[in-house]
Order: sequence, then structure tokens, then C-alpha cells
Amino acid sequence: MLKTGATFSMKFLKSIFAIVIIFNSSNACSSAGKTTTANSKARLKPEQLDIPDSGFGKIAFLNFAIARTGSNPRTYTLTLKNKRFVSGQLKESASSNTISIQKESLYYQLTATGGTKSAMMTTGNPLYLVLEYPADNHTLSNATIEKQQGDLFIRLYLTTNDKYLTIYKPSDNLLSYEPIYYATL
Amino acid sequence: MLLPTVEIHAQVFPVQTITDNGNRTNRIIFVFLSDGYQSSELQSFYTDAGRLNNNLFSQSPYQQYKNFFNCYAIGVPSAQSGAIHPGNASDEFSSGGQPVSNPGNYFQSTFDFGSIHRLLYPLNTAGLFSVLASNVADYDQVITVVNSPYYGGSGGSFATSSVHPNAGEIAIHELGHSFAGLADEYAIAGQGERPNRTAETNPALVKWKNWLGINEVGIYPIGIEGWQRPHQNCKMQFLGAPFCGVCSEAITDRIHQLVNMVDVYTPASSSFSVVTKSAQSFSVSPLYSIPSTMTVNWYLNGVLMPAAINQTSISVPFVSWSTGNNTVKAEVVDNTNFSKLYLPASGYVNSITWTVNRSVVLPIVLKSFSGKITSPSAATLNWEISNPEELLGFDVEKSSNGYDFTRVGSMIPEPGKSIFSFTDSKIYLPVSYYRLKMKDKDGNSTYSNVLKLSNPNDKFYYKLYQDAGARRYQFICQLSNVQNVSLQIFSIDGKEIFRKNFGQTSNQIDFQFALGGKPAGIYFAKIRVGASEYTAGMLAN
Repeated sequence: MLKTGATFSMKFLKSIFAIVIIFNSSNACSSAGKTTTANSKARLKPEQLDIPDSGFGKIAFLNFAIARTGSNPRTYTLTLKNKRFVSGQLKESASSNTISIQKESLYYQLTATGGTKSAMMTTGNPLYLVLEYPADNHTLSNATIEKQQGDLFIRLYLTTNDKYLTIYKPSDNLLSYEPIYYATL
Repeated sequence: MLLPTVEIHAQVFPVQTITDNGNRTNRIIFVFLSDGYQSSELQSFYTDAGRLNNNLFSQSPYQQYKNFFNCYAIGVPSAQSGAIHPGNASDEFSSGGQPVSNPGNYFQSTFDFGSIHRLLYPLNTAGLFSVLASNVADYDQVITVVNSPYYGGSGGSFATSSVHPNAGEIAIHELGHSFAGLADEYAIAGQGERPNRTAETNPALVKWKNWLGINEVGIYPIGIEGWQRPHQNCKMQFLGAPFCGVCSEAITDRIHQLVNMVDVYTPASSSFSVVTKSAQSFSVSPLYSIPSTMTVNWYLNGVLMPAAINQTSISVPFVSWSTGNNTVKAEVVDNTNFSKLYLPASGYVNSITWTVNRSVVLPIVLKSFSGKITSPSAATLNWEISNPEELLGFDVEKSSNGYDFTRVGSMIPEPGKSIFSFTDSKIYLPVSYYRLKMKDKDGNSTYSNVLKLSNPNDKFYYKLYQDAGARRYQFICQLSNVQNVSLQIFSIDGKEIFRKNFGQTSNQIDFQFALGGKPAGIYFAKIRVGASEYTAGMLAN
């Protein structure tokens, strides 16, 4: 991976973190044959989200504090900060097969009683932002911004059958999901 | 890391509907959020959001499928106007002299993010998430519109755009990522296999092989070793370009993944029984593209009904039903040219199937059942049924209390007769209850609802007061018409110990009596009023 940027800080950020700018990285990874790495899940200490009864049958907005604890491989800690439940419905998530594993994303999944798993859902990794912006002559460019800690937001629809929430990161080779957070609802 | 968990709530802001194309649970919901607009400028935001929306839906394939979307604008007022511009980007020369500014905007949208001038990004992502939760929680895609005339925008989880005339294109490009899962078609690593990016170079195997040679679709190197794109001038590479065929197909796929073309249908129940010999109607309200590329097909028991093609409603005659379960299927097929993967007639298909049961003997359905008091002692019942040919007969049952019924008449109807009448010449007073027992030729019987009949002018009542210690009693009876009234007292072993006939009377009866000299215990009073009998317990100490 070609890294042409430098580490620096930005005063105007609410949170001050190290930022690495990466332009036009040139290595490529295949995402064929996605799997979920299960063995590391056993090492996670299960958290308790304490979803109230009134939170089921609603759209849940969960806000986690996320921090990087290692960089090779990337490891994270997550702590629930806020939870909010709103009446309404979400449309069906895309099936897990249609989600490509990307470096800049995190993934989450609900498990119901009996082990039935929902489709994998995806959200941006707030500690690894790949942001595009308009360049000259109708072209686009992009910047990768890495942070040490931030806020992770996920939105999901909770049914009374749902029992567990698992959050995954992509494996470093982008071939599988690796759990980074596991909680009972 | 230990943090207290709290349940958060955010402010509700005005939500203006830009387009409402129907039931939001079956529409893709796009949301425009304002940043850097003061309260007095929100009208400008609605105009800007409307312009961005028009720009989006003037481009294929969104243009053709705009009926599949509902679009809203959340007017979030900022304390101050504009976007933050620290002026410290490493490429600040590209700002074109944009002045440094630090307004108090709600989502802290700032240029120069990541030290890149045109990277316009909302720092207050917590606020953004919270506002969405409070205002349009069921959003599918979000675009933040920043009140700045300078060129800038960004992607990420939510697209961001300034109001510069060219900036909307970045938002539409970003929707390609967040909505349809498309990759960039320029040299950027780490995006893996996507609908418009592949490592496959064999034309026979490449995922967009159906598009090769059409509208300049080919297999072109992206500029990163090993990766290919389908087009040389697609919006996923150049802002202002149209989406290529491969990307349009991916967007169309996603639209169909989220929206059911069978938008509304009747009957609402997908499983029911035929209860009459009338024709049964079925209807669907398809969601059409513009211009429509949809076909509506109807199937009865799996067989296409050619005469019903493209009809939105059909009527199935009774004779068409087979005994047992039948199926009626309405199928909406999108034959769009945006897809080569899903060829016409086998492509995007949504359907609704009704299971319709036709039993050997149709159930008898009581269409109406009514009655009225026609004289002081008589009532007439009237009713109508469907399927009289399936009827074996009726029993008419009567009750004075609404639950102990006895048969007061039976009827064997003339063939084909569906309207019936029955007169009961000895009604119970003050109230009579009636029900019908309907017996069909299949050996089944069903009961009607219970009809309660009372004379609205009848003021009948009786009261029995008792002073058990003194064994003195008072019987009061109010009548509104002439009735034969009597009072009998029985001991617990059934022996009559007292009788009083009041004869034919229409007056109020106020009668006092005593049970002196009788053994202490329980007694029963039987009160006869016309043909009706009432019983009350009495105590003598």
C-alpha cells in the first residue's frame, strides 16, 4: 500500500486524533468467498444492551463509543453510549450475499432465538473514513482518514425474537468478517 | 471504556414533502438535510433540495423509477449561515479565493476536511443521526445540503453537497455507492468485486457479459493492476456523465429489491372461501415506471388468462372454481431495458397469490335477519339467505333469557326460495330472544345471530320486596297493556302454599302479603304475566 500522506492533527475536529491521508492506494483485494470467523467470537466478552420491552417492534438507533486498540490487525473496543427507539419500519436488508466486504465498513447482524441470523447490515467505520470529493474537470478523488476513537451509529429493527447483536469488522484480507462486539439484547 | 448509557432525544424539525408517491413502507425514502441555513433561509433550502431532487430524478434510471421514491426535506435551522472554511487545506489554492469562515452551523459542515479543500463534511455526525431518528427514522438514503455556493461535497455513509451548481453530482455519484453498492470506476483500491468492478477479464465470464458491445460497454482496466471496469465514461468515474448500462442495472436491481410492484391489492385476505355464486373480483394497483415497462399477468390455477393481460382487475365467475382449493395469481413483470441480467418475462417479478376454497356445498350465508313485535303477544321474524339450493331447512328457536333456547318452529323451504318469514304468537315479555338454526344438505348446521325483541312501548316490570324477619312481602308489577297476572308461592319441596290471581289487568299492581305461621326457610315466587313466567327466591326467618 502506497502511503503518501503524513500524520498530523486538525484543530477543527471535535475530537483530535491522528489522521493518515492515503491517496490512490494501489493494492487490490478480492472479496470472493466471504465467511464469518467464528472462533474469535468466543473470546469476546458478551455485553448487555438492556433493551427495554418497549424497544422491540421499533427502529433502534444505537450509538457506540468505538476506539482502536491495535493496528495490526486492527482491533477495537465498543461501548454503548446512547440508545433510542422510534416507531416505524425498515425495508428488508439486502441479503448478505450482495454486501461486499470493504475496509471502510463495519457490519452487524442480529441473531434470534434458535440461532436464526438476520441479513448482514453495513455501516461506515468511523475510524476509517474513505471520503470522495469533487476534483477538477468532473473527476473525483478520495481521502482516507483514520482516527483512534469516535462514534459508531447503527440502525436496526428489533423484533421480539431477536436476542443478540454482533458487530463485525472486515478481516485484513477482506475475505471474511471478524466479530468485534457481541451483546445480548 | 466505561460510559453511562442514556436514551437520547432530539428536536423535531419541519419536514417538507418533496415528492409523495404513496405508502412509505413500499417506497424508497430519500431525505435531504439542511446545514448552514438560518430559520429565515429554510425556504431557500427547500428550493435547493427540490433542485437537487429534480437533478437526481432527471437522470436514468432514477428518472424512470421516480414513482418508487418518496423524498423529504428536513429543515434544520442553524444559528449562522454557511459552511465552515478553516482555510488551512494543503490544496487551499483550489478554493478560488473562498474566504475563511467559522459559522455556527448545526452539523458543523466544513470545507478542508482531511486538509483537502473540497472535502465538505459534516463533523456532527451524532447530531445528524439524532435528527434523522427524530424526524424520518425510516430513511433509506440521506443527502446533507450545505448552504455554501462554493464547490465541495463528500461521500461516506451519507452524501454531502454544497449548493454550487455542479456539486449535486457528487451526491448522485455517492448514491451509486451507498444505494446500489457500486464501486468507483477510477483508480482506487480496496473496493473488491462489485457489480461494476471485477478481476475477471474473460468476456465469456465477466459479470456484465450481457452488456458487452452495448452502449460502449466493454472490459477496461481501471488503472489498478488486476481490476476492470465496464465503461470509459460513467458517472462512477466522471461527475456529469450518465450511469453506464451496468451501473444503471445495479441501481434498478436495488430499486426492485426494496419496492414491491404490487403496491395494493384486493381482496386483502389472501386466503378465503367462496360463499356465493356471484363472480369474485380481484384487483391490483401496480407501481409503474415512466414510461411503463410493466406487464400485468393473471393466472387461474396456474394457467395464464390471456384476456386479462395488463388488466388491473378481473372477475372470476363461480363456474370457474374447481371444488377444493384454487389459486388466482396476479403478477407484475418489469420488462425494462435497464436490465440484461433479467430478461423480459423472467425478470423483475412481484406477485400476489390468493387461495380460494370452493367447498362441495356452499355455506348458507344469512344476508339479513330482523324482527319486530307486531301485537302485544306476537312477533314476526324476517330473513334472507344466499345459496338457498344448499338449504335443508330452518329451526326457529326462542328464549326468555338469551341463552336457554327452545325450538318454536321448523321450516322446510320451497326450492330456490331465499326470503323467509315466521310469526311467533306467544312472545315472552318483556323480552324475547330468537335465533335460527340453518341446516344445509351437507349435514352441517349453523346458528344465526341472536335477535332481541321487546315492545318499545312496554313498561313492564315487577319487583318483590321482602322483610324476611317479619315474613312480610310486597309485590309490585307495572303493565302497559292488558295481561292476565298471577302470583304463586311454593315451598322448597314444590308445594303451593299461596296463590293470588289478579285477573286481566293493565294497571299497576301493588300487593302486600305475609307468610305468618309457615316454617322458616326458602320459598319461591312464580309470577305469571300473560304467557311468560318469572321466578324469584324468598326467605322466611
